[in-house]
Amino acid sequence: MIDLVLLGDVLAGTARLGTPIAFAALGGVIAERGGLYNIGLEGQILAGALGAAAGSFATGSAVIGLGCGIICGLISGLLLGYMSIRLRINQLVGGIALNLLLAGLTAFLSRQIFGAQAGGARVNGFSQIDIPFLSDLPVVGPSLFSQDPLFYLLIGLAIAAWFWLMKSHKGLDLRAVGENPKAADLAGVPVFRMQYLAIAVSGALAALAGVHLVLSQVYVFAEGMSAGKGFIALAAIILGRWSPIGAICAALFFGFCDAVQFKLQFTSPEIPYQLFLILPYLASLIALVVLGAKASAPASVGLPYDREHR
Amino acid sequence: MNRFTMQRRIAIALLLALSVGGVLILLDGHNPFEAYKVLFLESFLNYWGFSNTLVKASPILLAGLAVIIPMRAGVFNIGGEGQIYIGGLFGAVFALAIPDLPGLLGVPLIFIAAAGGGAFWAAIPAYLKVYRGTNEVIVTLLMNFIAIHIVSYAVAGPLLAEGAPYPYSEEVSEAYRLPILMPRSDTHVGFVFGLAMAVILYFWLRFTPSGFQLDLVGRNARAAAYAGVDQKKTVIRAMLIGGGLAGMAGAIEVIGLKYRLFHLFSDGYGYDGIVVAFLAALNPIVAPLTALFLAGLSAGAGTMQRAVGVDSSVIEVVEGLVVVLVAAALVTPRTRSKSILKPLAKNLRLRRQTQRQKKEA
Amino acid sequence: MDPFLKVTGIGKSFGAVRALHNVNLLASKGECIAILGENGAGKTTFASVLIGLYQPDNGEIKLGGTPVSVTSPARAIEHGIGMIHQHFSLVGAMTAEENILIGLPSTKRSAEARARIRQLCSDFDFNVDFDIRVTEMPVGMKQRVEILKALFRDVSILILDEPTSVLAPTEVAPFLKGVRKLVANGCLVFFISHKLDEIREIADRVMIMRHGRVEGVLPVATTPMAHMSALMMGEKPTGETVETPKAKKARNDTSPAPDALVVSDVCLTDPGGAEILQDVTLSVKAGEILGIAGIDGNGQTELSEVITGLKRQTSGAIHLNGTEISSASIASRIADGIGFVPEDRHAEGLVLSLSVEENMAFRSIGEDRFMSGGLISRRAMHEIASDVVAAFDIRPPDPKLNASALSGGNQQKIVLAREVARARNLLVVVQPTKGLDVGATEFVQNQIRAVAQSGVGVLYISTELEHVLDISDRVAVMAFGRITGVVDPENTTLQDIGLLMTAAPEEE
Repeated sequence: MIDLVLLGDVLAGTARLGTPIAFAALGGVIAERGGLYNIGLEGQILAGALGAAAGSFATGSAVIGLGCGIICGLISGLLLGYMSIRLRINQLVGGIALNLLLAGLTAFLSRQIFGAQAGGARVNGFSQIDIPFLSDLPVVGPSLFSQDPLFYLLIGLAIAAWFWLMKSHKGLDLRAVGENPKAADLAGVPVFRMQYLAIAVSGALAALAGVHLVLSQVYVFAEGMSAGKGFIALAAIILGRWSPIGAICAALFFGFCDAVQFKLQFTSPEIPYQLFLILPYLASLIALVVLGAKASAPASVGLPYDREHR
Repeated sequence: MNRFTMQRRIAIALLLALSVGGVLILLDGHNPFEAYKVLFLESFLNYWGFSNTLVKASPILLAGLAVIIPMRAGVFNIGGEGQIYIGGLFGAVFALAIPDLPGLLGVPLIFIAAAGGGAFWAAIPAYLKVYRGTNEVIVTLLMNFIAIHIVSYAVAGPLLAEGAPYPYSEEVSEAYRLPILMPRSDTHVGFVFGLAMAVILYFWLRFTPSGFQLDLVGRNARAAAYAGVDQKKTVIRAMLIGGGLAGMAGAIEVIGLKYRLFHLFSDGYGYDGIVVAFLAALNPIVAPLTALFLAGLSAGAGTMQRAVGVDSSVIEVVEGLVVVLVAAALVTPRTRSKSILKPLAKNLRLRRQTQRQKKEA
Repeated sequence: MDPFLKVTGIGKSFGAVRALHNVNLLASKGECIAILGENGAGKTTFASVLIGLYQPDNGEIKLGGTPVSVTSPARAIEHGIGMIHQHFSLVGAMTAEENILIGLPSTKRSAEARARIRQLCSDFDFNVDFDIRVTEMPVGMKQRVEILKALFRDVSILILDEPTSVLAPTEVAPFLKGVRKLVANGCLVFFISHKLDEIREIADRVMIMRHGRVEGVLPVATTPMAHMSALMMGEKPTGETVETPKAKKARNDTSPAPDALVVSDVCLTDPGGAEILQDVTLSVKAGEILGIAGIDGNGQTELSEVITGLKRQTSGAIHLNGTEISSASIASRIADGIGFVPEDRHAEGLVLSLSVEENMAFRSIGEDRFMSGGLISRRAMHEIASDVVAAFDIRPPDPKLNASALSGGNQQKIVLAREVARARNLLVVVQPTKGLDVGATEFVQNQIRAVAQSGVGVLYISTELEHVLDISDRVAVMAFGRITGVVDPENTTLQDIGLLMTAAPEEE
C-alpha cells in the first residue's frame, strides 16, 4: 500500500530539488550541442543566484531580480565563451577556473552588497501559482500544479529549447557546429558566432537555476549555495542523452532520488539512503556504457575549432 | 616560444591576477600591499602558517600528479576526487580491519591498499575508454559522485564509530599515524611524500623507456604507434598510476590528518589537482611549487581576513584568475614546441578524427 | 556566343615553384572534362583556383562571358562552382536532408525545399536513403549526398577530385552513371583522375597536365590511351627508351643474394569495403633496392604500413629473412631490424615537441646504446645525436633544439639517420625526398644507396618517378592496390610505366 501523502511529498520534493538541476542541465545541453563543454555551470548558478538576490534586494521586485540573474548568467557564459572559443583554453580547465572565480567573486560581492550579516538579507521572491482545477487533484495537484512560476518557465523553456534545437534552422546549424565544425563552416554557418550564442544562452539557463534557489526556495543568497548542482547537471546531460527534454527528465530523476533519500533518512533509517543518491549516477554510467555515448554525444564537443587546422 | 618567454608570460599572468585582487581589496577599503604582505608572510614564512600551507598542499600535490601522468599519455583524468575517496576508504578499511601491525609494516600496506583502491577506481574508466571508446572525462566525472556516496554510506553504516554524532569512522591505531614533520603542528610528512613522488615521476618520464614511451603517446600518438608503443596498455598504465596517486592522497588525509574516515573528507582536492597540473604545465617536478602556491593562497586567506580584515573570498577570485590567465598564457596560438599542451590538443583532435572515421566507416 | 567557361592565361606560383603556367581552357555546359596528370602536375592547384582556395597570380576566369573573381569557396558557390573533395565534409550524426540544409538562409529551407531535394535525387537517379544518418551510409551514398549538397546550391560546374578512389568496386559503375546524368542535365563536370579506363568511359575530353602546363585538351573518343599516357609522362608517344643518366650502380648480379623480404598475396580491405591492396606479391633481396612507382593513393603507403606492422593485412603473408612476421607486433619488427621512413614525417616520423636528440632515439629507446644501468642515458643520447648531426650535416648543429625548429630537409635527415642506423635487415622508405631541394635529395639518395651496399634490402616507395628509376635495381609499379608490373629501370619506356601506372587495359 503506497502512502499517498508520502508520495505527494516526494513528488513535491522532486520538483523542488530537480528544478535547479534541470535549468543547469538544459544550459549544458545547449552548450555541448554547440561543441562546448560548460563545466562552469556551478559558478554560473552562483552568478545567477547573486544577481537575483541583488536585483530583488535593491528593488524589492522578484521580476527585476530574475532579470538581473539572467544578465549575470549571460555575462558569465560569454566569459567562458571567450576563454574556450577565442583563447582556446582547455574547456575543462577554463570551466574549473570560472567556478573558482565566480565562487570567490559572488562571496565577495555578496558581502559588499548585503553587508556583514551576509545571508541575513531576505529578499522578495516568487510565490507559488496554483493552476486552477489541476492543483486540486490529489497527490499530483499540490506537487506539480502548485509550483512557483519558475517551474512552469522551466517546462516552457525545455519545450522551446527542444523545438529550437531539433526543429529550427538555427538549431540545425548549431548541432552541425557541435558535430563537425569544419563541415558547418564550409556550408556557410558562422561557427564562432553560433558558439558564442550557445554559451551565452547556456550561462543564462544555468543562472536560472540560481535564480530559482534564491527567489523560489530560500529567499537569501548564501555563499556556495549551488552545492554541486552544476556538476550533477553535467551527469543529467549524459543521462538525458544530450536532448533538452531528456536532460529535464534526467534532472527530475536526480531530484526524485534526492527527495526519496531525504524521506528515507527519516522514515526508514535501516535502508542505506545513499543507494538512492548513487542510483542516478549509476544509471548515467550504465546508459553511457550500454547505449554508447557516440550515438548521442556531439562528436566535436570539447575541441576548440581552428579554421586553419586540419 | 622558448622557455624564457613562457616564464615571463606566466609571471605577467600572476601579476595581473594579483592586481585584480588588489583592486578588490581596495574596494573593500583596505591596503592591498599590506594584505598581500600578510598573506604571503603568513603562509610561507610563519611557522604555523607554513605548516598549514603544507597540510593543504599535500593532497592537491598528489591529486595534481594524478592528473599529470594520465594527461602525459593523452588521457584526461577528472576522477581524482573519486579516486581520493576510494583510496581513503580502502586505506581506512585496511587500517581498521588489521589494527595491530607495527607501523613500519602497517603504513606501507595502508598506502598500497589505498593506491590499489584508487587504481581500481581509475581502471574502470581506463578500460571503458580503451576497449569501448567511452569518453574518460564523462566516466571519471560520474564516478566521482558514486565514490563520494559510497564513502558516505560506509561511514554512516558499517564503519560508523560508536556514539558518533555525525558520520565518521573509528580512529586508526596510533601506530598507523603518519609522523609529524613540524613539531607541535598538524603537519605530517604527506607533502614530503608527494615531493618524492614528483621527483620519482619526473625521473621516470625522463630516464626510463616506459616513462619516455608514455610521454610519447601523449605528444604524438601516431609517432608512438610507429615506435611500437602499445597505446592501449600505455593509457591503462597511466590511468592506474594516476588513480594510485590520488588513492594515496586519500590515505594521507585519513592516517595523516584526521585519523578517521569522514563523510566528505576531501574538499574538492581532486579538482584542485587539475589546477595544480595545468599551472605546472604538466611537468611533475613543477607540481610541488604550484601546489604550494595554491595551498599558500588559501591557507593565507584566512589569516589575511583576521589580521587585515580583508574578505578571504578575494583570494578565491585571485585563484580563479590565476588559472584563467596562466592557462591562457600557456595555450595561446603562439605557443609552440616545449609546451605539451598543444600537441595534446592536436593529439586529441587526431584521435577524435580517427574515431569519427571509424564511426563513419 | 561566349563559351560557358573560359579560362585564360592562369598562372600560379608558390615561392619559386610554378604550380600553374599559362593554363587556358574553353568549356561548355553539358560536358565532362577529365583532368589527367601525375602528382604535382597541377591538377589540384587548378581546381583550387576554380573554387577560390587559391588566388591566381595572373589570368582570367570568365563565366558566360563575364569575368568573375572567385575569392573563397563561398563565392565559388555563389557563382555556381562546387567541388567534391576526397574527404567529405558531412555531419555523421545527421540525415542527408539535414546535411544538405545546413548553413542555408532560411528562405531556402522551406518545406518545399525538402521536396526539391527529393526531386533532385530522383532526377539524377541517386539512391539516397533519407531515413538514416550519414554515419550509417556506405561511402558511395555519402558521396552522393555531397553531390546533392552541391547541386542543391545550384552548382553548374562540379569538380570531382579522384571521386572513385574511395569507392568500393561495386559502387563505381552506379557512380559513373550518376555523373553521366549530371552531364546530360547540363552540368559541366571536371573529373580529376588518373584511371584511364574510367576517363575513357565518362569523359568527353581529357585535359592532360604536366609540370603545371596543359599538354593538350583532347577528345577522349579518338585519342589512344597510349597517347594520353605518353603526354602525361612527358614523352613523345613513340616508344623510345629512357635515357638513364644515373651513376653506375654497384650490382653483384652474379651471386644471387637471399631474399630479405618476401610479401606473398597480401590483401587489405578497409572497413568501408574498398580494396586497398589486392594480392600484392613481391620480394626484396638483401642488398637490393626495389622501387615502387605509382600515382599517390594507389596502396603504396598502406603496403609500407603492412610490412612494418602499423596495419594488419586482411590476408597474405610476410617473411623477413625466411621467418614469417605476418602477425608480429610493430615493436618486434623494430627489434628485427626493420627501418622505416614513413611518408608523413611531421605526423608520424617525428615528435616535433621533442628535441633532435630525443627524436633520434625515440624509436630505439630501449636499445643498449641509449641505456646505462637500466636507465636512459641522456648523455649517450646526446653523444650519438651529436655524431649523427655532424655526419649528416644537420643544421643548426644543436641536438638540444626542438625538431620543430628545423627545416624540412634537416628534419628528414633526422628520420633517415635514425632508421638507417637501425635497419639491419630491411629499410622501407616512403617518399623520402618529398619537399626536399636538390642537394638534400641527393644526400638522402646516397645514404639509401650506402645502406643497400652494406647488404640491407631496401624498399623504396615514391611517386617521384625519376627518383625511383634512378635509384632502384628493379621497379614494381602499383595501381589500384595491385602490382601491375615489375620492370628493369634500364630497359623500359616511360610510356610503358605510364600505362602500368594507369592500369590501362591490355589491348591498348
